[in-house]
Amino acid sequence: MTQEHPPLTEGVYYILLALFEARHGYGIMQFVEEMSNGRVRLGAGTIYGAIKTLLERGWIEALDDDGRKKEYIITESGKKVMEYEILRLRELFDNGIRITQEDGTNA
Amino acid sequence: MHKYRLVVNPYDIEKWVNEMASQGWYLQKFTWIRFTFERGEPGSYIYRHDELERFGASYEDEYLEFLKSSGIEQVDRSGNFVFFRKPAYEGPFELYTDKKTKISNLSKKVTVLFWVILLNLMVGIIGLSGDFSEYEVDWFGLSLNIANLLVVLVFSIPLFKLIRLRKHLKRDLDVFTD
Repeated sequence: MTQEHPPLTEGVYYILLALFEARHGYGIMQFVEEMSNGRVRLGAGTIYGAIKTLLERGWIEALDDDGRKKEYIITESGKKVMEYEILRLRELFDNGIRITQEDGTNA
Repeated sequence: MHKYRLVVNPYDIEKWVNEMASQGWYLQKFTWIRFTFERGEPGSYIYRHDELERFGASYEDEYLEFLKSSGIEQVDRSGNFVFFRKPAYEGPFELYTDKKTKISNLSKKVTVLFWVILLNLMVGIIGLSGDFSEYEVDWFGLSLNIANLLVVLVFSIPLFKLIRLRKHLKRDLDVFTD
């Protein structure tokens, strides 16, 4: 897909959302599980891989390492990405509701 | 208790280790082919394996530390092959929950197996034709080349299994994202 802002994976979306507050890896895992009522359970390996990629892209940054557990937080460009993603999701949502509900009244 | 297994398909080994755990035998140590189990309450732990990337010590420490802080216990390590476990009462345990990482992990294994098979096939076939070209049969060469072909046979099944698994995941990825 050639889009300026390609869709995020569910995992990345929730990780970025989790990092609107500073959290370490395990904190992200718990947050995502709670937010999604246990539907999305991210593996530690997957979260670690995503954190590395997001750091490289500059969408999140590591806070000063004061202990063994590193904490991360979303950056300004990360927040921009989230904004676009939410708009994209709203478009999907609105179109979905509109068409399926029209279909519902016709049936 | 010790058991011996050749690690060709790591997913099969992981499945076997979990079957042992459900019977109350817990993996404690392993070195390449030797697996040491200890007795305990059946079904208390879920085991998962990972293969660390070889050249990246700093990243490796960080990753292992990360897993530890997530409540995952490192059981033992042999080379870049590591086994982890987590208490079963804490719920399902997976290291990788996204298909893309699973596919790229599978691809690495497929590549290694493919080259092992190809190399053994070539050495085996070229060698075999040489073994009979002399007046006397070269028994040492012959047994070596038969061993080459055996390796090809033994490794081919896991290779096809891994390729099938990867194909399945890729097809899912056409429809589902994660």
